[in-house]
Amino acid sequence: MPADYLQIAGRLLTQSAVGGRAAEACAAAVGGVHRKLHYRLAPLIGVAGMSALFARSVKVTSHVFPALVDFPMGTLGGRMNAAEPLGLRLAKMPDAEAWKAATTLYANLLGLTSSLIGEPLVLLVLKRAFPNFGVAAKQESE
Amino acid sequence: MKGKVPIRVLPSGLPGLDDVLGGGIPEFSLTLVVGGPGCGKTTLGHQIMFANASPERKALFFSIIGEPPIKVLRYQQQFSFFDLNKVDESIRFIHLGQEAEQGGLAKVLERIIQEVDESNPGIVVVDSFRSMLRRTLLSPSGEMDLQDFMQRLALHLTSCEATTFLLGEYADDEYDSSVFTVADGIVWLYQAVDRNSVVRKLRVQKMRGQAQIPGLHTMRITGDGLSVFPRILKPEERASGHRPLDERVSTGVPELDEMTGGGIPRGYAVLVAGPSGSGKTVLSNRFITAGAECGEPGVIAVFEKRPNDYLATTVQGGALDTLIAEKKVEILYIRPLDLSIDETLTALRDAVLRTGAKRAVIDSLSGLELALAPTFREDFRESLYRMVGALTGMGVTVMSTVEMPDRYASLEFSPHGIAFLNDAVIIQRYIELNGAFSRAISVIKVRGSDHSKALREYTIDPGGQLLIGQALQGYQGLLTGAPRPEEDHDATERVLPRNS
Repeated sequence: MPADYLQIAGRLLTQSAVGGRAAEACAAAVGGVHRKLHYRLAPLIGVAGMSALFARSVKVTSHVFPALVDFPMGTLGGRMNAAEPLGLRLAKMPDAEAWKAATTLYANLLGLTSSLIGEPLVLLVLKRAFPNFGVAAKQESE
Repeated sequence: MKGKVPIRVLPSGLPGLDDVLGGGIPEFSLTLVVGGPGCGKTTLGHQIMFANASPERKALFFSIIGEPPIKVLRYQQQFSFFDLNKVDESIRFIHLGQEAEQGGLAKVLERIIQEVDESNPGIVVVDSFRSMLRRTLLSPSGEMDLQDFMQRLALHLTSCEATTFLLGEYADDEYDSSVFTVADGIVWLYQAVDRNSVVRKLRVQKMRGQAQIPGLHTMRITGDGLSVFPRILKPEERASGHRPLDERVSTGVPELDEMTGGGIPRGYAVLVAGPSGSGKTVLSNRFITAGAECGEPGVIAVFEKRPNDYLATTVQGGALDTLIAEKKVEILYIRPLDLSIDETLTALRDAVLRTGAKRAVIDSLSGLELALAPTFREDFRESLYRMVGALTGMGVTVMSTVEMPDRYASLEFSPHGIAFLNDAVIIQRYIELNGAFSRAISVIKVRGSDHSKALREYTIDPGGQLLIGQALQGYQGLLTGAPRPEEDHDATERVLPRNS
């Protein structure tokens, strides 16, 4: 059964969030998730690869969340701090929409990466990037 | 001599390559893997890395310019050797595209050294360094920069006890002297195109400290990665004291055993030549079933038909089926049209070792020749010499069949003059007797042994038994295909002009 990346992305963001469900908290959570993901994924697929996939994910997500259109990314997507401009944009969005947009964006990123390098490798990266990810998933299923 | 430094070798993980390299990859060496695009460099690098990487011996894969890592990962993980569990734990992928773009060789070297110092890897692969070298060589100090880069890279990686592979795109006649000189090993990969066929080849140009097998070795890429089929330069020498004439093996046809002087000497190569439908397959199958009956497993290599079709169309198919189920016989079907003789030999040798076979049948050499890539057909005789030598060297008695058209005007035993490669030759042919086609069999040679010179009529019964009759006596011109009773001899003399 294919992984539910929407659920995974939501869980990762929630785990990284500090300070409730405000848009600002979402922006901070995105920063944390992106840094950890970048740390594990960029060495594997290259900074340019990370940048290309992130740009594509933003583009796809912006079809549903127009607030992300013209997101000023440039080549930042491949860098650890790529989420800073994204965070600024999310922080200006209504709280619930910011969380939904961030979740959709990272679900798209994980899904896209999975379609290229395969789900097992993506799950492996997630496990290494978020050591508590597996434990949390197990606890939730229990 | 005592006190010499021992050089340990690492297994390459590629079937056949360790033999070609002279034992494996020398530890702490720097090897160049070079060739044109699509020749398998990246796959070879990954295969070696996955074969050797472990939590204790980590591997670093640096990609510089060329195939983006995301694509490398996407495609390389399709191979069975790609173990996802080793990714990140034992093998780290590091892309140096940015360093190459921004700081050239110096920056790339700096990052490699930094990563190597941090992870202390046992294996380092750099793919592909050539594009960066080209750029460097364009600058006025390019050659010096390159030399400096190579010297420092080689020295640092060796001092860190890393076994290193640099993968690079080079055309056949290209080389960078500063790179090639520093390398301890150079492995070339090729794709040889001949008419419609493409054959992958590998050559070890140098491998310091090891006696590699020279020459071009064929290789194949499958879902398991690269496999190399070493070129066997000389037949294996039989054990000293081996006297084949002392031990004979039965052909399964008592009369033929009698004709060969008591059976085929063990470890001999026998050629059975004859026209289509003369019963070559029947005889070779009988040779195998007779062996199985006396506890000698056998292997049959077929090229024209798939095993099931082969068994369905040969009269002894049922008996062979049973023997296959009992693991006394194995039928080997080798994919046709782009084979090399070395690949065929490797498959046969593996089957012989797997089954403990004492007998092998190649049915037929005509089919084998057709299955070979065109480039190997030109060297068919030499190839066959190596194959027969290797198999008989293992103590296997080999029977090969070959189709020969009945040319009554000349007496030939095989195409390509391959009869001399065989220790024994049996011919089958059609003759016309009393207005009907009959078959005749004769033993042309059994090396070192006396044998019958008679031409004997034979039939094949519905059970696939070869029934050999008495010698055809009282006829003349049997080999012309249209013999006459000997009493007509005088009549022939009469019609021939006196001066002819």
